This record gives sequence, structure tokens and C-alpha cells, in this order.
Amino acid sequence: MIAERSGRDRASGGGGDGAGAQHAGHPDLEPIQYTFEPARVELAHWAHQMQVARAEMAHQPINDPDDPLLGTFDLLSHADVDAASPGARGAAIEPIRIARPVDHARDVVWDRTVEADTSIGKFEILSTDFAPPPREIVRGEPVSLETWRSWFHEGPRLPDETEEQACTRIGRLRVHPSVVREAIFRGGLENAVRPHAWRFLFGIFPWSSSVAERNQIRADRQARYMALKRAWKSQLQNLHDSASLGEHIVKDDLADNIMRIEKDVVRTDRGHPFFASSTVRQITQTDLQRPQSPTQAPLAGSSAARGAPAARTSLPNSGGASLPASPRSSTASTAPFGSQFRLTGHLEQLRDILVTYSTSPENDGLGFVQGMADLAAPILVVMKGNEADTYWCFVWMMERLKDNFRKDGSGMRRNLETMETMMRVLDPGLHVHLKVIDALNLFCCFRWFLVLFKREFEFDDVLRIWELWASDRYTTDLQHFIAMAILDEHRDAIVRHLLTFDEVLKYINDLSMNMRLDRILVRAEQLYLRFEGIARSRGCISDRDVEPFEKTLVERLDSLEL
Amino acid sequence: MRGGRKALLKVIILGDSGVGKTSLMNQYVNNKFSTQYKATIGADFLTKEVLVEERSVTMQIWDTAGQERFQSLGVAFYRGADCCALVYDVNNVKSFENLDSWRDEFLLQANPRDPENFPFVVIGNKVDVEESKRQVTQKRAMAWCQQKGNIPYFETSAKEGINVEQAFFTIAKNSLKQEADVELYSDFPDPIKIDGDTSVAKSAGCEC
Ligand SMILES: Nc1nc2c(ncn2[C@@H]2O[C@H](COP(=O)(O)OP(=O)(O)OP(=O)(O)O)[C@@H](O)[C@H]2O)c(=O)[nH]1
Ligand SMILES: [Mg+2]
Repeated sequence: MIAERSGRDRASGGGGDGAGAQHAGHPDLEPIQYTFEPARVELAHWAHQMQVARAEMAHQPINDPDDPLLGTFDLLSHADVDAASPGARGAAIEPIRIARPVDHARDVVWDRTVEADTSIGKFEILSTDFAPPPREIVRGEPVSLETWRSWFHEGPRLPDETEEQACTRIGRLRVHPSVVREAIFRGGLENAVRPHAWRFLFGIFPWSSSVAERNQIRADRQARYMALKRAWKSQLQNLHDSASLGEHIVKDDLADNIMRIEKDVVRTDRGHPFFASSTVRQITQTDLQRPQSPTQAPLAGSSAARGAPAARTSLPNSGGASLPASPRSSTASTAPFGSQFRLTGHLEQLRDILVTYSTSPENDGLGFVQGMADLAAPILVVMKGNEADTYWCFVWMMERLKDNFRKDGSGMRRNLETMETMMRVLDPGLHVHLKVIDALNLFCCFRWFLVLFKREFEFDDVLRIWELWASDRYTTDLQHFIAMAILDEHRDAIVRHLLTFDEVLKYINDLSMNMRLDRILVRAEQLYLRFEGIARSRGCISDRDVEPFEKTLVERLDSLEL
Repeated sequence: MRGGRKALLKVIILGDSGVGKTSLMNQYVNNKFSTQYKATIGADFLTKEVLVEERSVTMQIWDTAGQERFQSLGVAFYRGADCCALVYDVNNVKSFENLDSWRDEFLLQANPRDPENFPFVVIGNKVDVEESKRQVTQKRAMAWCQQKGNIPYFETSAKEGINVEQAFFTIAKNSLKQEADVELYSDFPDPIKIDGDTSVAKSAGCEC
């Protein structure tokens, strides 16, 4: 293996032009082995930046909505994206209907990759796709509290009421849920609306619920959460009691999960102000020698607090006065049996949510898997520390994502295969390139899907992505289109400069915290529409289909025989 | 380096979640320690140019997730490795006991040409933590290393930067040796040694 690698590289002189050219027109050839070259990753980043700069310079003047040229641009050119960004075009919310007649006579053969000129040679790609002409995408403004309330009966705020209070007593939804979904998809939510809207988006409240029903749902859910949490706490108490009686404790799933959860909780979003006042204290030998009940307060004066902020706060609370206080024990800090850390505040809540989930029937035997903490933490922030509501939003989210966490890797594999199929449809050139350089397993997208872009964007952008994803406008699989949009944004840099799986992985990992979400969201929508256009032209979608699609994207993709 | 031997050394860091793999890599490559490292998801790597035995080489250090749930992914990353660093936390006996399975898993997946002599390095991390917390003695760790074919052993602190440089230097040295051996095999199926390594290196260079 190694010999192959180095031998080939020497033959190609590290450049690749010579070795690749002979494969033109033969996309089915075996992958070529090159050696990882850090300089190519640098070059690719540089090339991308130049490309963006060039596009921005060249198209700055295009801000005329009636510019006849706009419609004929390559759908994904930077000009199109930039022109469509709110800054350039104003922020009119124009709902997009997807059931539009496909006029084949007018349609252009839209495929810039009919001949893919890549760094590993030229490839002929046969494509007979008729795609609808590019449509202009306009992103909107985030939904404000006022707009949010206007969608509900009894929405207007009373004179002596706070915004929060007004939001918690709103009646039934007055508009069709699709109006709300569309608006959220178009512009996301203002921060103040999130705790209210997410309870609908993330499955706690049905859109049709009345205020009385919502109160009932909430009380029920709260009680169920508390019961689940009490159950594992008392199981721990039993373990603890047996241990202090000197009984040998056999390997225990619960204690094992708690250990792993704590390991990750202390490494999750610690830089976010919400978790700033929470403390972590490593449990010391001294603590262990003097076992204490899990509900007891920590030993006074125990030493060796390490790497934790000095101040200990009790109950950093749930901000919004009208939101019911989170259900948590009155002790400032507890350390379950088997804990390595004594946690306080929101970190303790995060741990409790994750432990509860790992023991719940909804968990499906997954236990705790790395990545779950990244998914739960932002919800807890949005819910301002309301544990029960966070828990149920998290459960809803996990219902959609839990296959990704399966031990056999099956869910994740399916995700990546779906991406691959999408790429074959949407960008055959990139597909061929990644195939030839043996990067078609798309491991470079693994983290994106597992934690839904949590590690790729700044915190607020992550919240935006999640609410768009949960809005289910167009599709319940928005993550695939966002992923394609990111790859698409960088496809030229990848295709022209990167020659190994390692280089692609590095290039993609380097993008983390360095991407402009607005551009990507526009692109993701364009890609969706293009994808839908192709699927429609191949007869995979009929006009009777309701949106969002009931059949999964994967099934649809599989039915696209290529 | 044009015309010389391949100068990329692929190193894989393995070990249980939380033992400090990411911290070690960052301490070595960037001379930094942060308490803000996140649990690794998937895989990533850093590269560092090092001078080993008067040769400048690029070390490509792979950091993978410690949770066993992700091992099905590992396969693609292990292939072509020149050295594998097995890391455990000296304050966590379980992480030490798991070294066996990390090693076996690696050999199975990476499938190196000569598993008996494949270079491993064992690192016991977090030695900065108070002595009373220590669960694995140096003696015990060294006995294990000896039994597995004299694996070099280092005790480090990624936090304080203790011994990290030394551990990685040995990793680099042993990878290079591995790389040289493998090339010797592959480029010249029946090597006739005239005057040792240098002439082989020279003739390999001439091929370009
Ligand atoms: N005291 C001390 N703590 C350390 C040291 N190295 C790492 N840590 C801490 O141990 C925890 C885990 O470190 P990581 O480097 O993230 O561990 P990892 O092996 O990469 O874990 P995974 O990515 O989950 O596989 C973090 O909280 C670090 O701050 C060390 O040398 N001394
Ligand atoms: Mg790590």
C-alpha cells in the first residue's frame, strides 16, 4: 500500500497532470493514488478566496432587480448568489411555489460539467438533464416577536404585559402552518422568538393547539421528564448504597454512560456565556474516600478545583420570568455515583438531560454517543435552562437523527450514500473527481451530518440552520442540500487543486467557523429547486405530491436510475 | 526534497475518549494547551515539519474520535500508517486496559506488511495530575510495552507540555525507519546491500 503510494507519486512527479491526462473520458477507472501534499490544500484555499474576491469585484454593480442578465447566469455563479442576498436586493419575502410547470422548450441544458476539466484530466460527462432556469432566491428578515404573535389569536400585547407574557398566552394559530414554515425558512427567527417558536418547530406543541392544550402538554411532559430523571437518580442511589456496603459493583451501563456524558459535557460550548457561570470540579481522592449521598451537598473545603472558574453560583436561572422554572433539585451541586466531576448550573442540567435520554425508552438502546452533547446544548441555551422542554425538543431532534448514532454506522453510511447520489445528479464533475481521487466515501461530511453543522458555524448560525431544518419547508432533509451547497461553493477549488482524500478532508475541516451562512443558504435552496426540477423531469415527482415530501429523499434518489 | 525519498510520515493517534489525544497533538504541533478542546468527531489531522536524522520530513498526525462507536469509520484513516501512538490516561485504568484492543484493532484494519515489527509508541498522559489519583504505575505500563515487543513508552502531560516533544520525536524516528524498510521491500524486491542504507537511498533518488 505504502509502496504503491510513494511509487506512483514519484512517477507523476507530484504534479498530477501527466498521470491524470491519460484517463480523460474514463471516469470508471480505478482511483489514482497520490501522496498528500499540504501545499495543495493551501493553494486550494487561496484559489477559493481569489475566486470569491473576483466575483465580488466583478459583480458589485449588479443590484438592479430587473437586470435581464440575472436570469441567464449560471445558477450557482457567485453573481447570482450575491445579487440574491438581502443586502443587494432588499428583503421582500416572496413565497416560492414549487409546483411550477416545466417548459422544456424554454429550459436550458444547464450543466457546466458536460466536460469536466479537473486537475486529474478531462472527463466527458453525458448529461441529458433539463433543468429549470435558475430562479432568483431572496432571503428574508428573521421573524420578530410581533410577527410571530400576529399569526396567533389573541396575539397583540396588552398594555401592561411583557413580550414574554404576551407570547405565552397566545391562542390558536390563525394562519396556515405553511405560512409560518415558509417565513421561518426564509429568514429564520429573532432570538427572542426562538424559545416560543422552537417549542412548535421541535415537536412539543402541535401547530393547531390552543393555549389550554399547550399548558396541558407542557405539564404532562414536565411530569414525564421528572419521572424519568428520578428513576435513574434512585438507581444510582442504590448503586451507591451497595458500593458503600462494600459490594462489588459489576459493570453498569448507567454509571458507564454517566462517565462518558460528563467527559463530553465539560467539553461542550464552554466558551458560550450561557455556560460561563457553571462550574466543573474534578472529584478528588478525598471525596471518594468519604462517600456521600448523591443528594448531599459537596464537602466543604475540599481542594483541587482545577481548570474551573472560581465562582460557584447557585442556580443560574432561566431568564424569562414567564417560563416555568426548570425542574431541578434544590442542592447546588450533585455528583452521581461514578462521577468524575461535580457540575453546577447549566452544565449540570445538560448532564441530567443527556443521562435521562440515555436511559429513556426513546433512546432505543443507543446509550450515550459522542455528538449528542453538541445537539442538546444549543437547545438548552434557547430554552434558557428549562430542562424538561429542552429534553423533549432534543428527543424530537434525535428521532430524526438517531440513525446516525447507530453502532454499526448504518445510518451515517446511508446519509453519505445519499449525498453521493445527490452529487451524481447535481454535479457529475465533482462526483467524478472525488471518485478518481478516492474521496467518494465523503467522510469529509461526516461531522456535518452527525451534529448538524454544529462544529462548522458560529453558535448563532447553528441556531439558524437548525430552525430552517426544522421548518420542513421543501424537505425534511435540508441538511443534504446545505452540505451540497458547501461543497458546491468550494467545488472549483476542490476539483482544480485537490488530489487526495486527505487533502479534501483537510480542506473541508479547515472551513469550520469560516463560512458565510447567507451565501450557503441561498445556494442550498437553489440546489434544492434544481434537484427537484431534475427529479420532476425524470418523472420522480408528480404534481400530486404534497410538500414536504412524504417519501424520503433517499427513496426518491434511489429511484433516479442513472 | 524533490528526488529524495517520500517525506510524509503518517502517524495515527489512538486511545479511549478523553485520554488527551487532541491535546497531545495540539501541544506538539502548536505548543498550545486549551481546556476548550471539544470531543473529536470523525477525524482530523495536523502536519508538522520535523528534522529527523538530518532529513526534513512532514509528519501527518491523525487524531480520531475515541468513542468506539466511530471505529467503523477508522478503517480509511488507518491505511498506510507509518506509526501508531497508543495513548492512555495514567489516572484511568480502563483506558490502559483498552490499549490491547486498540492495538489489535489497528493491526487488523491497517493491515501493515509486517505486523510483528510495526512501530507503536505508548503514551501515558496526564502525569501532571496529583499523584494520589494515579491508577496505572509506570512499572505496569512498561511491563505491557515490553511484552508487546518492546514498545517505546513515554509519560507525558499535554497540559504542561511535559515529554511531548520527546514522545513525538521517537514517533517520527520510528516511522521513518518503518518507511525506509517498506520502501526497501517494495522498490527493490531483491535488494543487494552493498554498503548499507545510504546507497539504497541514493539509488532510489536516481529513479526520478
Ligand atoms: N490534567 C490534564 N488534563 C488533560 C491533559 N490532556 C488532556 N487533558 C484534558 O482531558 C480532557 C480530554 O482531552 P482531549 O484532548 O479532548 O481528549 P481526546 O483523547 O482527544 O478525546 P476524544 O476526542 O473524545 O477521543 C480535556 O478536558 C483536556 O483538557 C493533561 O495532560 N493533563
Ligand atoms: Mg479528541
